[in-house]
Amino acid sequence: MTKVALIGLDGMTFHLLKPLVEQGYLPFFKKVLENGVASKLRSTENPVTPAAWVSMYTGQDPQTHGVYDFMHPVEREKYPALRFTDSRAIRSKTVWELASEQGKKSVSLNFFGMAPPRQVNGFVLGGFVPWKHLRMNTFPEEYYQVLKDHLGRDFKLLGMDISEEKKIVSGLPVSAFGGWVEHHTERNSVLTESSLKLVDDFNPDIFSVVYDGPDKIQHIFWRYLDPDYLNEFSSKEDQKIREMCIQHYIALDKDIERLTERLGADWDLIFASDHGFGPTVEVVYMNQILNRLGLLEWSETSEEGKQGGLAPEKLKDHMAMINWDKTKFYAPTPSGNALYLTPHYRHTVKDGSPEYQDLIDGLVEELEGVTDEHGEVVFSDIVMNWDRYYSKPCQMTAPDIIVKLRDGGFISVLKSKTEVLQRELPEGTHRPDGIFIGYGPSFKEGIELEGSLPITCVTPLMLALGDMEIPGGLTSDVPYQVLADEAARAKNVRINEEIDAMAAEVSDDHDQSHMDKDVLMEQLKTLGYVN
Amino acid sequence: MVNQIEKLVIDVINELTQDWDLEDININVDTALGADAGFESLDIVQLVVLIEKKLGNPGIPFESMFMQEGKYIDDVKVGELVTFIVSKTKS
Repeated sequence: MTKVALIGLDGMTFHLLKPLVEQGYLPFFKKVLENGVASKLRSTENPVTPAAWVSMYTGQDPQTHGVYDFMHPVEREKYPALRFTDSRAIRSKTVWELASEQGKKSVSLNFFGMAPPRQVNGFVLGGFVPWKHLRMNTFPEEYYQVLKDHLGRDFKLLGMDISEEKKIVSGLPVSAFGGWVEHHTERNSVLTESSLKLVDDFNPDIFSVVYDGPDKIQHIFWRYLDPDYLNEFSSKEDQKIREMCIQHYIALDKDIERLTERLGADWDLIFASDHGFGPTVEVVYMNQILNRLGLLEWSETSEEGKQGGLAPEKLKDHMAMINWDKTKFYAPTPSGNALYLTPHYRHTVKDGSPEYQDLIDGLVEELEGVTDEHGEVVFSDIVMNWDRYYSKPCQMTAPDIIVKLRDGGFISVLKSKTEVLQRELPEGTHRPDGIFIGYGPSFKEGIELEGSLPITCVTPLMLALGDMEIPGGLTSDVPYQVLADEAARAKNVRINEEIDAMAAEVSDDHDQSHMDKDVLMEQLKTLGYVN
Repeated sequence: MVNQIEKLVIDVINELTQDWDLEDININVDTALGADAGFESLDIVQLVVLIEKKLGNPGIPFESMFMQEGKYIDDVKVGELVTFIVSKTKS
């Protein structure tokens, strides 16, 4: 019986992976690319970690599972509150739950959204969990001690250490960058050690892990890694930083090779990233644009952001910077690229009504006309929520509009004197095209597909490879084009319309929205989302 | 009721901090969450969630206890937290 592993590589892109392979740094990835099937993997409309990973492991799009961002607005009478997105916000079942229902054993390690852990036949420990809270976010909880004893002092690296990560954005000298790379290289190694132990102890049918080091490295060091910037950043110091980063990928290559050797040759391996990566060269102050359009009013106490730099500490109160009585639309977070109607205004304009449609049409037209000082348009695309536009069922967390910036970056939600500001140096940000590599007995060999696979195809593919039934109504079909001919015939994919792919609703109505929001804003700032 | 809440809060803190490598510390009403037990903002969020869970999610406005003018207050003592919960539970 075929076993399936999903090895997640947060933020990995072929734009970086292929040159590193060609230069001989990554022998394991060279092997899987030469002997497997590769394709771009198209991320969610806004290619951000929560929406993308949840889409990958539920097989459904954000319109269905309801996750769009690290935080989601919750409507209050007059003003919105922000709430942290965790497993309770995910409306769909995960691939590990679907597998459990069919008697299969699963391991899920370090995926965003899996805390608090969903109960499966196997093991779950989510990502973005501070090390101090690992125990209560481990399922089964008693296994936490086993893992802790196995890892020794390194167990803390399984969790997120915010105080460590804060250091990098508080102005460390270049000479201290090494600590950041080293931290994430060691963390990848601990994820590997944990994976080996979990494979041995649980003997899973489905094994899944996310290595998030690439994303953490690329957000900060992209200009040193991107082949397109090699001439621009070519000083000895720049080259040293690049070499230091490359060591991270070399170590990752070895880590994953160790893991796959332990799994064995009979496993089908899926390597996938939640999004790609690229440079961002400017900051777009979204709420400032809405202010000029007369759709958002700043409060009297609001202050302007420090231009070109990190947000001031007052950012914690950024929702307090808005005068809600006089605001129609707002952008709540810097990672969602999303615009929402304010709650009090939504109550007066019914979804799908002519008034709502006029309002949205008018805003889209205004945004299409937003230009920089040279008259160039700022938004490459403006995506409307057609469900809401036509009054179809719609998740409460869904934005009214998602904007795409011309440089692929994320918006700023701060007040500013300018609407578009050039960055002093290019930084790393997300791109829609991530990676997919299938390697193992069921996959084609030595093929690179044209075009992209949808990120939602991973769940039905995993279920099919594991000889499981697939619920009807998932967003994508099994991507048969990646399967070897014989395997495609043998798999005899079974769709079962009776399987309910939606999760039981769990109340997350604890009144901690302000506290969650503040903590998460610190995390986003650390990860470079906040400008 | 005070004794029950006190035991519940201390049990939750002990549960939460069991892996934190704290020096031999005996959590009691005089323990300062920040200075003595090393609580940071994320830990306070988790503490509140756990207390709410144990109490059956009564919607106690912990924000008014732990946040003032947008900033975390971490010099809260366990006894003060107990008194706060008791007062809000009664009302």
